[in-house]
Amino acid sequence: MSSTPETIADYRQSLVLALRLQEVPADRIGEIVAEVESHVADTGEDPTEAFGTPREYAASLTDEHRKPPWWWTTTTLVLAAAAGWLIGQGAFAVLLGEPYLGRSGWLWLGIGIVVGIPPAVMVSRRSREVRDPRTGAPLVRTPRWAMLLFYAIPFLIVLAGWAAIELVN
Amino acid sequence: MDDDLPTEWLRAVLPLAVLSVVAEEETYGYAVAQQLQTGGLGAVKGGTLYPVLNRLEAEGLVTSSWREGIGGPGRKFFAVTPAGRDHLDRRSAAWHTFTERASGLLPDPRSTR
Repeated sequence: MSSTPETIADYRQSLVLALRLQEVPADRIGEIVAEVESHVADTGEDPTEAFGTPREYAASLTDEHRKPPWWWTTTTLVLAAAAGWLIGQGAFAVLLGEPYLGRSGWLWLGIGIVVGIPPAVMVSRRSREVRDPRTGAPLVRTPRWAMLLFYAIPFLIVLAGWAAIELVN
Repeated sequence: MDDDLPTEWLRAVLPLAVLSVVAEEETYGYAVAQQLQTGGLGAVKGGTLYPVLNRLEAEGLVTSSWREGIGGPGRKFFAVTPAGRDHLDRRSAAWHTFTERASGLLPDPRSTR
């Protein structure tokens, strides 16, 4: 079996995802994917034939894995949930012009943002763009609206809740 | 060379064999695979070769750099470091001692019993 541009593009997408799931740093993902593509360009082989399935190859690269300990992931998830809750309560209090638990909504909003910094840093580190070391261009194109949507969803939920409360009143 | 060689033998000697090929001259993955095949180690797949090359690089025994290809994608070239050359010399000597000792323990199929 020989490689075609389609099989290489599919392999690239799947390998980037599989390496992301193993917490491999973005710069190493770029190197690993470029090695695969450069090699099959020389041999004419199908990438799966030469390297195994993307999932198998990513799993075999144990030296590259950077999986954080379970407590780190749990702490990040708890902080992210707490930040979302505080920002939501704070934003509602600000929009309704009422205090929450006797304190200004701005205070809760500020605390929520501070609490949300560590998980936000972790998310941005994980989602760092993977670049092709041969060209410096992004390996997988992420639409600009994807990041916008990521941040817009909580705001839209708060706005929808506020609008509903206003309508009921 | 026989095709039914145990894979663990190849796994044991591959890092040293790869380092030896890179020490000959600066080269890239596919050329290393071809050299290994010519040397009688059989067809070494990319999925086996590149993790070995990357481990050698992580250990500081080789360095790598991407070079533009002519009319094609770039190639990653590997070059031995002074530490890699030193490692190759020491480990090669140890390997020969080891295989000689092992040979002394094994029956020789060419000799009549």
